[in-house]
Amino acid sequence: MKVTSAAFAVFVVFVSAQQTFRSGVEGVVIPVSVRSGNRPVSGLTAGDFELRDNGVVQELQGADAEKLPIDVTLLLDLSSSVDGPMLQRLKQAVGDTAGLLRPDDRIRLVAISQVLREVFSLRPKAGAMPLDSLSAEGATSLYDGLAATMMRPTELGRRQLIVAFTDGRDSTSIIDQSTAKALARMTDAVVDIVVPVSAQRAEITRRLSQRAGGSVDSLAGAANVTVNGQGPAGVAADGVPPVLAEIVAPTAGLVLPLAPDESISRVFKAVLDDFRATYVLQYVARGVEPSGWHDVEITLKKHGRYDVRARKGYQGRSKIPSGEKP
Amino acid sequence: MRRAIAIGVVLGVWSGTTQPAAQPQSPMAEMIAGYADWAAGRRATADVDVVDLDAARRELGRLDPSVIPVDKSWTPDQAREMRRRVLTSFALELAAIGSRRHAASAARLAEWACAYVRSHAPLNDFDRAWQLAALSVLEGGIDSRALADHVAHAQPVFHDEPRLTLARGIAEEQFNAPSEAIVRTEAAASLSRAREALTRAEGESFRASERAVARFQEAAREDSIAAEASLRAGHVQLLLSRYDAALATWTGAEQKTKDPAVLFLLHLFRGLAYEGRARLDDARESYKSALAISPRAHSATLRLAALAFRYGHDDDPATLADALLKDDDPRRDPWWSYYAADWRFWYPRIGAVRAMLKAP
Repeated sequence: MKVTSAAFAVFVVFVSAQQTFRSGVEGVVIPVSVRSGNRPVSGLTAGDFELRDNGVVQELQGADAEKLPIDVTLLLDLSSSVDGPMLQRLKQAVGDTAGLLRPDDRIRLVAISQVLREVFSLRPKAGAMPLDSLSAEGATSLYDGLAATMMRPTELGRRQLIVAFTDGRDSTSIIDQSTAKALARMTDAVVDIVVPVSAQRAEITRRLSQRAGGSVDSLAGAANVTVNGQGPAGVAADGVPPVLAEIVAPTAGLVLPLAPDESISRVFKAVLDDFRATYVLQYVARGVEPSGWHDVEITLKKHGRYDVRARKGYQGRSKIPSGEKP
Repeated sequence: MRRAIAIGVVLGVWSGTTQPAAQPQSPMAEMIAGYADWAAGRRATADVDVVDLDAARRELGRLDPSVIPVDKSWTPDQAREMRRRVLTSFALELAAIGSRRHAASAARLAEWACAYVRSHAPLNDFDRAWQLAALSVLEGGIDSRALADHVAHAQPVFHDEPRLTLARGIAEEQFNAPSEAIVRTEAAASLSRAREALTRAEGESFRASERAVARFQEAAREDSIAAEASLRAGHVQLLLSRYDAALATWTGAEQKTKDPAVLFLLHLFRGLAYEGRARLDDARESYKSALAISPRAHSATLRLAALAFRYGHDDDPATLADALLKDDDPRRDPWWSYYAADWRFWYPRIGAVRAMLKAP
């Protein structure tokens, strides 16, 4: 009899624990970038967008953008492959990027080598940053770095941007590509990745960009770029590992090739400017099952040719029972 | 090698300085004489700098052994043996400095010295200690071909050495190992990508994995390396998505070792295999078991956090991730040295070699 009671107690505890898990019924936040040509389109309101969650039109509660402060995480590949002048350029770029922040914005720096290290945690731009101690050595745990930063939830009333800088080669991560992509589908953050390429590759990228009739944005983001919900545009940039585009795609982020003579600070500034111009659509999903994957389709009601870049969906957060294939 | 390296290391501390040997001429001769003096207790420290490992190898090849100072009371045979030990140990010290970044050059230097070790007859304790230290350098370089070549030379001579048996499998496993060393320059990166594409096209990666599993399974018959051989066989199977086979390979492996690094990795890899089989609760328990052995190890912490983030459970992924970002002690995580294999034994092994220089 005692054994039966104990077994029952364990079962109750397990069920209770399951019921405390977060699920998809909480508010959904979708960052959306709207461009006309190479310029961001400003002045839009929630009424200008139509959002379908698993095919069901949702009531948008807001389309805030500019007024929301930003948390920027710079994720820098400081493995031995970036030692030398590149390291100095990176230090300069970190300082320059911090200088672009507004008083309410915050920045943090995470270094990736074999080991992940938070050089400094989220902080306002004021004050000197401890960059002198940065050195480049060891291998690259890129997917680990992306995973560790993507799992940080966005604080209420703020937006989160992760800007990674890497040569794109991962050598020591315990997080594999498929897990990194799965985490990217669920993160609240927008993830952009800057990848140095050779001069030859940079030229190829420029030509492909011209051929595609768009900016580098429509090149490297590839699968995540939609034109009024009409599917992907652009082609993958040569020389940039395709998996990077697959990781940033569900976050509505971009992969940005960096030419050898191109300023890292300038590219980081472009990333930040682009992010500032994004809208944040908020809604509480209604008429759909909270758990599982949610396809999100966003279109603009306004007439004209716009590039609407947004995450293609999100994972409703409920426990998948053990034994069920994720 | 486009970039020169210049690293100074201080090899131990030894008091009781007496008379240093006469000053030899070349910097290399001077350095090796200093090393010999340090080994003999005539100096407190020895500085070992290397700019180019291949140049160092050529210079050592031209070196007159008589510049290596030895105790004048020794017989010619004793002096010859001590000079051989100093020369080969010194070469290994140099190779170790550059092995992680310039694996091929380090391997050439180790191989050059190895000829003086494996040709010695009869083999003695120094030769055996040197071979084990050399294995650390070569496996630490993660250069599959160099390691395979070395094992092919050394195993016929040291046929009863279990670590060499294990190294046969490691050489095959390292064929598919990621390495930072070979992509340090743009040209090297392009070459590496081309090589990867070629090996993929030819199916060589898959065949190397199959050979690795077979060799590890063979090595697992030897008690002293059974646990690590099983660990590695299962890891290769894991990478081939043969989750059930991997789990079967690891059955009972914990009972065959007390090595905390091997035990940690067994739990970590089991967690990965369980994730592959969608046994998420088992995966979570495996990661927690790994963390019980090495608390705050990044690998197990990150996998646990990712599991919580994707599927939800009581662990808070953000808290776990934040904690690991604030703790970057590289000694915590055996995963980081997994592919470098015996590199983790370098310091104790070279310590044994140095001890035999001091007390021949």
